[in-house]
Amino acid sequence: MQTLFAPTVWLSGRLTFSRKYLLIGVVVLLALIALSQPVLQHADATIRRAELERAGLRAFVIQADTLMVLIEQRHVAIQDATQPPPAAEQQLLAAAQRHPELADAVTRLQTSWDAVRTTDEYSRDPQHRFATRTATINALLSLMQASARLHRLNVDSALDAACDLLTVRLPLVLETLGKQRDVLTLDLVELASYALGAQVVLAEAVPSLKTGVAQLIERRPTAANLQHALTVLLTGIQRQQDTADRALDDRTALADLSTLSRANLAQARLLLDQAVTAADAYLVAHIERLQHTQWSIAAILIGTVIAIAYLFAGIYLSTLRSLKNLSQGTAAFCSGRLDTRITIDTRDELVLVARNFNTVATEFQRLLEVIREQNASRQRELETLVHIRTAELAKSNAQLRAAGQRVQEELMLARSMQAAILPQDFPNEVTWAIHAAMYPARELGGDFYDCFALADGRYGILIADVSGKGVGAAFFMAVSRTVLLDLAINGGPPSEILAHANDLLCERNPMQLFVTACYGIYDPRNGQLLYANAGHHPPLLRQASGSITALDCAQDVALGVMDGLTYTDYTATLALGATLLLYTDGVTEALSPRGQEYGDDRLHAWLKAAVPADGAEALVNALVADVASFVAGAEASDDLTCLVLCRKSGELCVDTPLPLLDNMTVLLEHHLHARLGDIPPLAERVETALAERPDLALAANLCLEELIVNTVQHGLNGESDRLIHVRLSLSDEWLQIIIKDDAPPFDPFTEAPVPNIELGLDERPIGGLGVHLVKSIMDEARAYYDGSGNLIVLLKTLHH
Amino acid sequence: MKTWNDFGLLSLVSVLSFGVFHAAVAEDPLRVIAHPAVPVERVDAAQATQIFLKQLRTWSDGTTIEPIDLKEDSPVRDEFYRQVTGREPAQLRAYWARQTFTGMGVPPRRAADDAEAAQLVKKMPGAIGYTATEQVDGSVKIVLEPR
Repeated sequence: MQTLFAPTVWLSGRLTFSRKYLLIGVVVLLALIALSQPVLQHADATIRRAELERAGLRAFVIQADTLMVLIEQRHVAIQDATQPPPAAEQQLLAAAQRHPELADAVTRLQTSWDAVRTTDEYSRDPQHRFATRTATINALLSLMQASARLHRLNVDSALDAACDLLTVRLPLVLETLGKQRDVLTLDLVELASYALGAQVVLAEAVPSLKTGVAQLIERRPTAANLQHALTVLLTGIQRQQDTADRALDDRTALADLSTLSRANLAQARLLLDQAVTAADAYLVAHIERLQHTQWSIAAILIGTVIAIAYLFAGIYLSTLRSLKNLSQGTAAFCSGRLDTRITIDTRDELVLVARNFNTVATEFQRLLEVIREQNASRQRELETLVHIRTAELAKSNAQLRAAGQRVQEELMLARSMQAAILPQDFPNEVTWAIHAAMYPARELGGDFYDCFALADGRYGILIADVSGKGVGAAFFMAVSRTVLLDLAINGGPPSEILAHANDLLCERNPMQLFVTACYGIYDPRNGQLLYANAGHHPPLLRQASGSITALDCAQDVALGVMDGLTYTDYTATLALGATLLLYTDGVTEALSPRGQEYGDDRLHAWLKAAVPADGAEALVNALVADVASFVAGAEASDDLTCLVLCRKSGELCVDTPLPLLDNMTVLLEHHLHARLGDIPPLAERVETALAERPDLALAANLCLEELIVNTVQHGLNGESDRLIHVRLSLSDEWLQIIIKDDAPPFDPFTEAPVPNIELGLDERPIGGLGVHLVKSIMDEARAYYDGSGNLIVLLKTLHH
Repeated sequence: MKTWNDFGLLSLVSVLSFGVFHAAVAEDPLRVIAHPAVPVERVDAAQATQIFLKQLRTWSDGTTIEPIDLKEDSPVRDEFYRQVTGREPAQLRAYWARQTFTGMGVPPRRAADDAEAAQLVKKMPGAIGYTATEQVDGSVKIVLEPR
């Protein structure tokens, strides 16, 4: 079955519904046309045959008319020899000549006509004339029969007898009757017998006449008058036969026969006319009937086609509507409207498809709902999990933040401690001053500086830079500073300090760090600087004139790299007004936002333009500010440290403010000339200032008198116009007395010899005893030289 | 049927009278002559019979045969038909009556006498006739001499 229907299944699979129906419609239409074609063709052929028969009848009418004319002309011609031969019947010949089939008959007719004329020329014999005209009539009768055959009048079963009547029997009867009449008119004995004998022809024609008329009446019931005409004719023929019989014995009866034949001729002619009319009427009706049949078939065909088309259109529209429902439903379902269901109100197989779709849709929707619920459940679980994890994360973050904060706090504490171990108070003497600053790049720095007074009145200055940054560098910085400070405080030469420190640091340097350092010892009394350099930038020296020079330095190795190294000492002198700058690479390697280094040139230019008179602190702040403006907020690349040592220009230190220790309250500020006579007023003011502590006032006055006398007599060599500045300050624990002069460097406490008590008062060296007294009274007594003069600081504890 | 009996009776009368008439004109020099252009030199009696009964209508070359007969009351005519066709005058009348009545044929053209017949034969192409006179010049062709 599959194989049998494969071609049509293949074809159907490639056609849309509309084309399928169209194809079936076309096939049905073709089948109908093919079926109806033979019927229509048959009807058409029948009509054409009937038309042909009608044309034959029309031709026959003309021929019959001609026959009658010829019969009458013969009758005239045998009586009147002057009668001209008949003209050829042109209408008849023209009609006949259109048919090649009739050519022989027409030729024969024309030949006969010609023969009539030829014979008439040389013979006036009536028998001759009768013969030639009879030959013409015979030719015409032949033509009539041939024409009848041509128009198929003889093969129409409906009209065969009538046709025989019309085209054969009646013309023969007419001619026979005409010949009988003419022969009898000729009155020839030998012909008269033939006239009698011709009765046989009439008698023989009777059955055919009856059959033909009966057929015509059967076909054409309205032509009942035919029967009457036939009856009259047959009666006439019978009477003619009776007369002929009589003429065998009575020649006079021939005249009666002639009369009868004339009457019968007319009657036969009447019958012929009526028969022609009846036959033609039948044919017209027959054609109309056939045409009606044709129209009926065409109408049935068209009606069937319309009915099929209507039916197919209905089926197509119904199917299309169902398919459209299915398609729209599927599309709606696919677009997300899952509650879509398809309703088809037909009873065909598409209902099953719709039902299946609805089942699938329902199942799909149910499954989707299940999946959605599972998803929602999973979502809720996930959200819960996320909440838990978020809370845990927040907790961890908080812990982390707390830890970070703790670390930060620790770092800040470490930073504070690191800052605290660096000196924050700097000497600012009358003749010299120091200031320094360190700004770590991170919380903790690797740079450090220091400045400290040595026992011999000199002053140590140190700057160093530990490799690396961060906590490790900070620790190494602390260690390095402790080592260096411990070593340096004993006052050894810088080269030894550095060599010793290097050995110590190499011993305990697990992180393989190193530190560059520059250590110098400044003597404020003469501006001498003794220094050594361990891989650090050479210090810059600015003369009062503004010229800049980098101090000579050997290319010595940084500390902590390898032990057993030696370093070289150098000396330099700071003239009055000169400034020394020590710095780390945090200054010169500071980077601008565009990546440029601050550089040596910029530093030199800054130092050249600096104003040392503003003081060391101002210079440090100015340098830091200059670097900061160059960096313009960029993250610092390295710790920044600088130290400035200024030797003042040597002016009187009258206006030089004395440094004030913290928590001290100034009790007295007093200036006096270097004259012994100015001491008593000072003593009075001291007593006033320390009115609540007369013991302290006594001690202070003793020391002041001793030291001022010493200064007037020895330090200033009697220059009475020089000023001496005295300050009394008091804290909770201490009484501080400061005496400042502008004499050349002189330390009464170190230079004064221990007094020989054994000696007499006059024998003792000047001042020696007094200084000793001061040391005894005071808890602390020290003398400094700050570049501009000597500073004597006395401390006396309040609690004893 | 009476008609045909009557016709047969007439024929019988004609046959009986034939022998009597034949003896009377036995000495006449009867000849069948034709127009000199006819395509034959001789015809036999059977052919002559067919020609004069108009049963043969064309010569061998297709031209029409024009038989020239004599008047019915001519003894030469009777002799000719008797000698050549073997038919009596009554038989001939009956033959031509039948032919006339049925329209099958027309009797040949008839000359008044031998001379006219000879003249017609000489004039008319395809003509054939008969004569009993002595004077037959070379203007016609003698195609049959029954004796």
